[in-house]
Amino acid sequence: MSQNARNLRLAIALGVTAAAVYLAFVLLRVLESGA
Amino acid sequence: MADHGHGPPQGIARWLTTTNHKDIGTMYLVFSLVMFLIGGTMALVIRAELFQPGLQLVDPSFFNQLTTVHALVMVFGAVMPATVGLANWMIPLQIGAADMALPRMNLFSFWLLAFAFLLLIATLFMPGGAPAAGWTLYPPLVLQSGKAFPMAIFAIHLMGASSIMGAINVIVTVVNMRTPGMTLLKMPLFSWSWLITAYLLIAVMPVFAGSVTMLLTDYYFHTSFFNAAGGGDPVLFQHLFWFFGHPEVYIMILPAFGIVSEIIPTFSRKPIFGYEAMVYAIASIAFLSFIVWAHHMFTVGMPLAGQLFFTLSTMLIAIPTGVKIFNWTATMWRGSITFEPPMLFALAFLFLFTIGGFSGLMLAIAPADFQYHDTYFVVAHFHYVLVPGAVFGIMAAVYYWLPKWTGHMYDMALAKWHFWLTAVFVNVLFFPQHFLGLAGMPRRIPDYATQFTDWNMISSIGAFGFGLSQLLFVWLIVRCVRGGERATAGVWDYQHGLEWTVPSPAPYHTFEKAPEIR
Repeated sequence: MSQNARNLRLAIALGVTAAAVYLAFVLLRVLESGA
Repeated sequence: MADHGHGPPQGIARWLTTTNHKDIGTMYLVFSLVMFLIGGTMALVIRAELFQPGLQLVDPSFFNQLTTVHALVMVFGAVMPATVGLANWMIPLQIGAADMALPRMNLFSFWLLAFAFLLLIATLFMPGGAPAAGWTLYPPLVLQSGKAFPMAIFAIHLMGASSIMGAINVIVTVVNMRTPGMTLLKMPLFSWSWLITAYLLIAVMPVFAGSVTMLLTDYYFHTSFFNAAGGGDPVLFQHLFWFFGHPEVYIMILPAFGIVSEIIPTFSRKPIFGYEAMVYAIASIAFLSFIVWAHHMFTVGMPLAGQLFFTLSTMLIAIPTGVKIFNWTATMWRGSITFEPPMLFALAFLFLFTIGGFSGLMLAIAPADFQYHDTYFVVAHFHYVLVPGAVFGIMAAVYYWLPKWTGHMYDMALAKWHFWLTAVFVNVLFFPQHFLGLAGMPRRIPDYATQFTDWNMISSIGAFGFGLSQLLFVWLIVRCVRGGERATAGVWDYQHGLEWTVPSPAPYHTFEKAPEIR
């Protein structure tokens, strides 16, 4: 795997993590409130 | 195929289209300096209003907008971009990488940030003005903001996205791009501090984004996340905000820890004392920053167990911080110390940041906090942490690496003048605020009872002295960029690290062939 591909793979993983944290805080709150 | 032998394109195109880490680092640093001056000007208006009791210069609503925007500008526009600029410049040079791992995203992060601040500052001039509830944006007060509120929230989302992309870039660069032989535990402490900071950013910026999104839906779509009348809870926002807000403090200070850990060994002419302990201390502080958030909100009421937990977990932070202070001191022990401007700022950091740390311990004691909460004591505390803490760290870094960036030595005498004026006035500005807070003066007010007048006057004089001293800093940087005595590759007597092996100024492209690390 090339350096660029490895960089991209890690960057996407970190980006997905950030998005998951965001969604966890908003969506869980929405679900909990029964909306 | 790109021709890697070329220099930068000329003119404005260079700055709009560059993907070079040094150019982007420079843009972040210049942006940060501009924001520091804009945020500082707002602070001067605040301090001018507070010079004497009564309403003099601005109406109370605009005063509250200024306190809010001053804080947002200084946190997200001045301190954070300065450390991102330093990361862009120095991490590739310290770890022997040719550039940051994701150069296009790097440029995108920068311009997103610049655009975000254009929006945020524009809200001051829009109908209803900027948010006026303080940078903490607590509902329900913040939901009474004018029509520019969603624009401010949009700006905050953009800054968050920019920070997250910047953090991803740092992590990928450090994890994937270190030169062969540069194991993690051989990495310079500034790069280490930024690696940990980047993880903090990815963990907490989305929480902040989520919180302000919920504010927006409460404002426009009549949800009730934070509205008690609809079954929500305004205190929930405080929990979410401070789950972000406390690590945010460390996002600003950890890079400064890294900087001081580079500078003290150089000017003590000794390797850092306890390198591994320094790394573990930064990691411990980062971990603890996640479990202390409710010490910002003792007064909302919480069970005794909660008060005890957040008091004790907060006090635990003193242990790794104490390790760092001890190790910096031990590094100087029997060193051959000289007092060039970076060392002066690093030493002032050591003393004055510690004052901010101690007042933090006072605030961490729940029953005592009931007295201090929302007073000027808190303002004094966090300004000691952020100004002679984070800002002095950044200034130390600029004085340390400026010859490497520009290829010129700066005017040492002028820099020492800048240091002494800054170090004296920062105390004249912020130390009296401890007394004001202990005497009961609340924060975020444009007027006050007459018994607070004397210390407010002294604080305001300090503010103007501090602000005017920064013009020396700007003048010194401009002169250094334009010319001066040629700097050598090593710049200082005792250097450690790969950045000192490349010429000064650092060539446009460095380490295209990975350097060898023994």
